[in-house]
Amino acid sequence: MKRRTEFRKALNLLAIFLLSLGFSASAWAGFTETLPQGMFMLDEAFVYSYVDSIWDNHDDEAPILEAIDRYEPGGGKQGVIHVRPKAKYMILINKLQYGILDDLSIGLGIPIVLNSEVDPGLSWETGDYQRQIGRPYSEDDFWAWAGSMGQSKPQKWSGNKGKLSDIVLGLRWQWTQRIERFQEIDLHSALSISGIIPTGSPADPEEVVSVGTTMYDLHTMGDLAFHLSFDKKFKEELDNRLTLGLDVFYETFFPRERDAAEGTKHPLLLTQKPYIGNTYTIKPGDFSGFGVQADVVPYRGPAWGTWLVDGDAEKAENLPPILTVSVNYTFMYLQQSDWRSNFDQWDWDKEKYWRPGYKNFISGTALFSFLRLGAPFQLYCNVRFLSLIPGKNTRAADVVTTGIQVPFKFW
Amino acid sequence: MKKSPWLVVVLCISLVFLGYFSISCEEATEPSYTQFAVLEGTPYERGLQHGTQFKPLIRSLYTRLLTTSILPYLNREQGSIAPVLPEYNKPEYREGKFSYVMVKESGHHLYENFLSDAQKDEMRGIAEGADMELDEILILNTFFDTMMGFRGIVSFIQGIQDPEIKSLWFDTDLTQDGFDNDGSGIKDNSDEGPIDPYKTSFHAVMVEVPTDAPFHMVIEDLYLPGFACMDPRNLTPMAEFEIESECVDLSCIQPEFQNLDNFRREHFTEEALNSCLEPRIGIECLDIYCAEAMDPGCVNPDSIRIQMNDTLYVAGDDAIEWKRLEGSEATGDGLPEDHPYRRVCNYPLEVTFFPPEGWPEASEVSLLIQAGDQSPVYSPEPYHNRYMRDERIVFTTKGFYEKEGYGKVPSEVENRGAVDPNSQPTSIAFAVRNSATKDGDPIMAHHYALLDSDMVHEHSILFVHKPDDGYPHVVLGFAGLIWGFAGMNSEGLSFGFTNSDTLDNPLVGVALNKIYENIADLLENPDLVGLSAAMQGVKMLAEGIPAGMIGRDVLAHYSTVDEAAKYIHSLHHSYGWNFLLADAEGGMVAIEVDSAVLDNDEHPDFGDRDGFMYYTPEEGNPEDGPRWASVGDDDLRISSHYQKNVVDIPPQPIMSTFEPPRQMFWTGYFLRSLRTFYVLGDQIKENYSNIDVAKAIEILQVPDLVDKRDSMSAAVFEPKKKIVHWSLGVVPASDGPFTAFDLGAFLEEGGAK
Repeated sequence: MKRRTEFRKALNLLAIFLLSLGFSASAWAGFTETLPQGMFMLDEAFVYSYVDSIWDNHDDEAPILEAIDRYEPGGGKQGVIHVRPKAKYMILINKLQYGILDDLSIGLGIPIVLNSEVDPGLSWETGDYQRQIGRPYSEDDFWAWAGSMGQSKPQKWSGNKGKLSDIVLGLRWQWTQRIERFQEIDLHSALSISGIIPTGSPADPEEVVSVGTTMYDLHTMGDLAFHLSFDKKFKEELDNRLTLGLDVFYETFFPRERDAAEGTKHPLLLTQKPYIGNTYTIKPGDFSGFGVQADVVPYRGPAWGTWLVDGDAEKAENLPPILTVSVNYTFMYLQQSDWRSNFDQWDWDKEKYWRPGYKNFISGTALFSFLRLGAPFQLYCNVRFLSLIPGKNTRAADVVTTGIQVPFKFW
Repeated sequence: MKKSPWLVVVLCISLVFLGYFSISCEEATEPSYTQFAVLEGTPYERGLQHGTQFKPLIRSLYTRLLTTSILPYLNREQGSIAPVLPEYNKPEYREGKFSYVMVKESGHHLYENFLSDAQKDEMRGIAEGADMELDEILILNTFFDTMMGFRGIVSFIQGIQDPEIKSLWFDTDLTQDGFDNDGSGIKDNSDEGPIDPYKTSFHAVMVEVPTDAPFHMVIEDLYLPGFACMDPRNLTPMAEFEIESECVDLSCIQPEFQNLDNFRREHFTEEALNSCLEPRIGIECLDIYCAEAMDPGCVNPDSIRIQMNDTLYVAGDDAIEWKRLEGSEATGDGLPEDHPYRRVCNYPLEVTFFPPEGWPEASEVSLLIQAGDQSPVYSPEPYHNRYMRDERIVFTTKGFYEKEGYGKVPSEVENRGAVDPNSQPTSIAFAVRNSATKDGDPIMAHHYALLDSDMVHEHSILFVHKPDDGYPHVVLGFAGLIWGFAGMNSEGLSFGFTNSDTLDNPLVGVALNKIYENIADLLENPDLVGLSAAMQGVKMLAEGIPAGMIGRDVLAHYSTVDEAAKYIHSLHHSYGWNFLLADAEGGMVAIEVDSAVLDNDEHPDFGDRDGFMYYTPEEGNPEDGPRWASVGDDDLRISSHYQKNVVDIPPQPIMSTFEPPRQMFWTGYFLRSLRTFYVLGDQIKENYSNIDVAKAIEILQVPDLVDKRDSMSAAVFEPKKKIVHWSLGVVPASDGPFTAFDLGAFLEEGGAK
């Protein structure tokens, strides 16, 4: 009986690191689970994220970058460059978790970026009639003009293939496991701490449109994260078909130094080193907030007496249901990010996009467990939206994750 | 007692949120784009304070205005300049270094020959304080004067290849109407009407035109045998970057490629390539008929645009008709009939314009005329044809004089035209006193607009200088510059200047001298090839004291307009500038200068013998009576053209096509400035006797007087009270807010930093 319980716990623990990595489903079976002592869990997930807009300082959807008005020196408006970048990430997340004690687990996450693409999405709004060329500038005219000054039109960028992101280490302590009163009322709580090892790469400063592979670039979790979580289960009342969870968190970033652009690739757009300094520092705004979650079991499915349960169908009844559906809402408050260079005005140009704000995550997860049928793995699919509920000063990224989880034990 | 687990839960959540609220950071706020600085001591010390205090701003202005904007922009013109001034074909100017080396050389020339020790020391202090090269600070302080002259030369070279209006007339008989319609001085003379040759005017071209008389004009595109360096892309038909073999002298092609049908640049010999800048090749390598195809002298009828008051008509509209003047003398005759590049459109174009509803009765009508040719110009990009300067023509229709009481002759009707959304007003300044102001005290206002590039305003600083050896003064300036466009000193003397384009500048002067040295050769080869040969060794170097530095000197050393005017008179000037000065006693003077690069004594009528012209409100134009730039006894104004120095450069008929024209005939600023000048006059007149600081600011903010794109600084000075009301850091600067700075009180209180 104990073994079944451990196994179930192990499966439930997946949520911990999915949440802490922030890429995919939050817990689909509660926020507080830990792995049984000695148990490992391997999780391989493919993540696809897409963003083409932000929630601005007025909670309105807007392009990631502002339109740029262009003027012919002394000759009127050339036109307006509208910039609507579209960024895509494809990431493979390799996670391994281990139960040190029944109520204390650690985890390791190694995200590898498979590919990143950024399409600058440039378009053109015609400006004034230009006497010297006998027509208003078309988009081609403008970029020919810019080209004659050494500035080529920014093209679609693709990169980061096979690059490592920041490695994540996590620890969870389910402190209520040893307090009988909490067990009696089926209320569980855990304290989780995770931190990153900065193995990711920042974006190429010489590229107008490019992205890095650090957690800050992904803007999903802090360098150091603290979560306090609660799960209320309804074993008696609802036959364990519902778990309600609450997670409150604070995640902080450490300052990071970045190289300033010299203009080697885009001399007109990205020559900043002479006045902002060789490097500058970013202290990203910390995250804090809460998440609420409901895990529902709509279909428990058959329980077969397979090799996993030594042919005992009764034992299989205690394995996870074939389908678990979770919905999650998370509110995340974002503090002001702070840029520090030699030049205050440049700092402001960056900081204005990262003023205090918030994110409203909505996500849903479906978990298909085949353990009851004798197959030692589970598949899951998660969708997470930031574009559905308005936020403020944040990118409205949407993410789809699919993954497989395999629990195992060596001794 | 058993503790409730829910209490623990609530406690934990509270602790987390307490932590969050206590750590939450403040929201970033937009930094101010205007700064204030008090600089004290010797010029070097003041420079050092300036450089140290504003190091990032100075470095930003240098990088963003010069490195990534102006210098690459000027580099585009190397292709136009180098064929005429072959010095700029040399290797040291290639690979994108042309503009940087050119402005640096010009700056050095000024530094070594014209700048004072004080100016040099102040720049040295800035460079040291900002941890920059002295060359960089020198360029930042002098590029403006060099650039203005450079612009003039480029505009002139391009302008002589543009189409131009040769003549115009109205299709009607004006010999019986009792008016001197064309201002010839004779009423109803036998050839009343045709304006031939047409020349841009301060005034209307015609008065009392019947409302049913169509307007005609002849537009001609001057044919010029080709440049010494040809852009092979300008030849048609051709593939991109290729040129047909029949156009090329095979001696310029490497032997192994001589059998090809088309040549690309890499097929040319090294010698042929080295004579010109890529992608150009030397004209000696081209068949002359092919070369001529680059500027075929064809006005493009499809390019005609005429804006009548505020209504635009374009080619294809019923209101515009055109025909080529077949049979008239055609430039470039004599080409073989069957030559593939024979120019078939080398005749002037007669354009007829008549709006569908006729001209409005008893009205002033403005026509803004645009036209281009068919020359394929690939460089500087984007691809385009050559377009003439927007030309504005004003006339009145029958009944105007009777209705308005003026306009009997063209000179009574200003050429101000209608608002043109495609062009902006120019820089202005005005001074008022006594009967023009509310309390009789003098007021001077100034608004400078030229080049903001969406960033210069972010580098603006109000400097208070407390020199060891001069009057304390305040300057509306920019980071890294030792000068500004306007300022006032502790005596109340106020100073402001505007640019006033002229070809009477040092960059043209050295070229003219070379032409005169080589006049015999040029007469034998009166084309751009000959001109290029004559220009061997000529560089574009500014000469004189930069205008803004003159302002600093004036403020540091003089207290009245008369003293300041004498000082300005004593100087050699780097370009065309208009100065306006006002002092605490109500003195005011407008000064128009150019560089007087030629001996002007042969033209005493215009009095511009030393590049200096001076006038006050009282002084009238001796030719036709009106004051130069005043609506009454107590006002004076300037914009960006010459009112008095009209013949800024004396006629040089011997130079024929290459004769440098007067300001009014070539610069795109002239007609814009003229309109601005007249609108400003209206505002002063309307508010006469009622102008105070608030009203002066209101006048600066009149939409027709505000360049909304390139406004750089605005100020209203009270010379008697020694208060400056300044606005910097926003575009347009005139939109304010204006901040009052009481220089007198500041100094009385010790002028602490």
